[in-house]
Amino acid sequence: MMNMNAAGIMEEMTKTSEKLVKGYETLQKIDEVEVATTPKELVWQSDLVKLFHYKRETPATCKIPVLVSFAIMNRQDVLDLQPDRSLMKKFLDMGLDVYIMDWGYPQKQHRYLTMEDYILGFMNDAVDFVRKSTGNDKIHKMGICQGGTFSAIYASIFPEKLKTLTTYVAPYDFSGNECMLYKWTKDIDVDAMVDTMGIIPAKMIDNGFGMLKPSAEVSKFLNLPNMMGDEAKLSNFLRMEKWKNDCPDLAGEMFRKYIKDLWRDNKLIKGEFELGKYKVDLKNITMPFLNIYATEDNIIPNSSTTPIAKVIGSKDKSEHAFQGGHIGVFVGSKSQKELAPMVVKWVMDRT
Amino acid sequence: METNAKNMFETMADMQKQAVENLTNATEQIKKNLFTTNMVDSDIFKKWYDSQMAFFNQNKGDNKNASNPMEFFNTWMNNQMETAKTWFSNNNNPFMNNMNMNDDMKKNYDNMMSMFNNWSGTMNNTYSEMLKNFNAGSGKDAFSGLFNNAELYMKSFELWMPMFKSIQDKSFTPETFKQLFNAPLFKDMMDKMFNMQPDFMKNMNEEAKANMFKMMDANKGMFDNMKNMMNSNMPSSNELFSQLFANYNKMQNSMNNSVAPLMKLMPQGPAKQNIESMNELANEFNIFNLKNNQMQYMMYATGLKAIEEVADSIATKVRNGEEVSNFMDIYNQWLAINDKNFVALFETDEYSKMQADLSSFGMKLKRNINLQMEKAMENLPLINRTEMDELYKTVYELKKRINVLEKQIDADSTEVAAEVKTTAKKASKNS
Repeated sequence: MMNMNAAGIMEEMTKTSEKLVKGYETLQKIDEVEVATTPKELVWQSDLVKLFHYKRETPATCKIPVLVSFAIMNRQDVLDLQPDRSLMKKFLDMGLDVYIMDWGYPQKQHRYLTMEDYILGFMNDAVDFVRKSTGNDKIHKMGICQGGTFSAIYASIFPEKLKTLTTYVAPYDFSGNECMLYKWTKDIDVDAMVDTMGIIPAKMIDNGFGMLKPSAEVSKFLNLPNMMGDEAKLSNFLRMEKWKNDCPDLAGEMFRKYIKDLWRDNKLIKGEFELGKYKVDLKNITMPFLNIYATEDNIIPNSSTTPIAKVIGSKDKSEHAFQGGHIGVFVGSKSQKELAPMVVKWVMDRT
Repeated sequence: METNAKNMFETMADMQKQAVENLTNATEQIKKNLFTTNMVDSDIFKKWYDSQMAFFNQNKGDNKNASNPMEFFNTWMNNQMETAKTWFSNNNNPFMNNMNMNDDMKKNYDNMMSMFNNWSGTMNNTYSEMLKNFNAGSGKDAFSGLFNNAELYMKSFELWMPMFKSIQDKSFTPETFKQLFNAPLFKDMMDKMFNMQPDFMKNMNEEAKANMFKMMDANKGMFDNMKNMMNSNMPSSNELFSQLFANYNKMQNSMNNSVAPLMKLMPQGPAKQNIESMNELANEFNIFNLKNNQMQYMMYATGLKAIEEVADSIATKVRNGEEVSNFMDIYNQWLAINDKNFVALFETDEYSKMQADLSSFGMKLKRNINLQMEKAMENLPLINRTEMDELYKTVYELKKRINVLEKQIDADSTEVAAEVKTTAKKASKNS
């Protein structure tokens, strides 16, 4: 029991100092942690956007390649955080031929990039490159979170280019207020933000996400001193931190349309969304569709993800409820043991 | 490394000396109030301090220890604390148990707190030195996070410290909490936890203020008075906001009325427009600060509600005879209750609208300031932001055009290649 007098105070100060000193000693010795270490090569680039092809040691058993698009507001490295928690590596090990888009780091000169540029430009060009270089008319497409929404929009416009579509924890219906982000985006003056800043700072977006659980930034460091003796645990923590702190800024014009048309006016699920010269009709998604959602997702509520099933034209459509949270879908051990094999089987059965 | 270690240890030694001196003084005062026995034997302190410095001097030139300063620091730190703890406990336990927190006692307890604050100050002073030993990267970021959160933990510890005795005595009530609550410290904690003004907002505010005053200085004659009035009328977060806005508007109107005759005398032109724009900017800046304070007040009030809930919970445990044995439990409980209350606040329409309003107003203010800065600097040979944005737009459109043309060339090449192939096939067939 703590001695709650001055002697106890000094003991508490000593304990805290000891933890800091131990932390200082241990952390100082750690070299920079690496993420996204699964070997891959750069095969295509357009402005700031790159396309990587994961290297395989053996030929792929799935003859049709997979193109993966992550959200633009975070780095795709979380899909390959470390070898034993890498969804990409698991896909490779199970026989898929995987390409992944790297959306890059928008600078001030990219402020005028639009949603059209990202979907009709970068995403379409990447799809065409994979199709052409592999000699396939159609490829498998996967999209995560915002990348899933963009992939669905793409699939509505170019259904003839996709063999299957798989989306993970992607928002489609923005009408609900279960998550505070959905409420806030109805009120924010996105025009003032974009007209003033041009490029939306990653820190601003990160602060918004942080408010979903204000104590998370504090409580994660409470446990850190206990990890100092366990190099594996400490490295895992540092890798996650590295990914979390590596957020790109967002192109202003893309952000403007994304917030106004989707989050505020909910045009996509209502069939009112337009992209460039195209009227986006989700009924045009006719290829086999697998929709994965996380049962404890506090960022993208299930009520935002599941409604797409009712509006797409695919006859072969299914959804999978992953027991876990938004990030757990791609980094947890369950993702390795349960989700990845299920997805690979689903894709292979439709190749 | 040896140089860094010496700086840290010298700082630590000074701080320790100061801390123990404060402790000595506080102990003397407390004893004076209660006992007529002898004062604390100051020779004990001298002997102890001399022995520590001898230990330090013996080791600081030693190559073995210089290569592992942290281990040395760790041992030395433990020795200090153990010695001071034993010394303090031996001399002070009898009267510590009799503390009844009258005004004098409170004052002397505050003196004792300075020991704690000196420790905290030491850690902060050595923090920047410690960081220099890291290469940039994950380890450094993680240590920064660890340090900052240890600071928050210890601030929370400091906040609850006056109440520990009554918790241990099982006399703690919500009223005890209110009596002993340190509001400025609590505000510090909230600011730290919620980063009340994130860096980009802080920078924006600081830049805006600095830029605006620079522009006013350029028109010094007209706006000296306005600047002084702005500084002295910056509102505090405790005032009623509707009253603040009303008072501010009165001030603004009377200021405008006083300069109106002079403004009428000025001929229309860039100078007059500048002055009118800056007047408007100053007005917008003050309104922004008022709105920001209103938002922060909402946050502080919610934080206060959360900590009062923690106090109620502890009081209930004390009433029911449950043990409150561990400060970490109190801290974790505070974090959980804080989350509950703040998430409830963030989910309200009121918060959403206020946040949006503040953000929108702040963005427009920043934009106006930037535009005014551009006007002020238009005679200088510098490219401004508006011109850069025009350039970026041109570059963007050119890139798009090039992209289209490249695709056209690719498509044409493919078509031509296909045609050539077909022609060659036909030719070989005919031959």
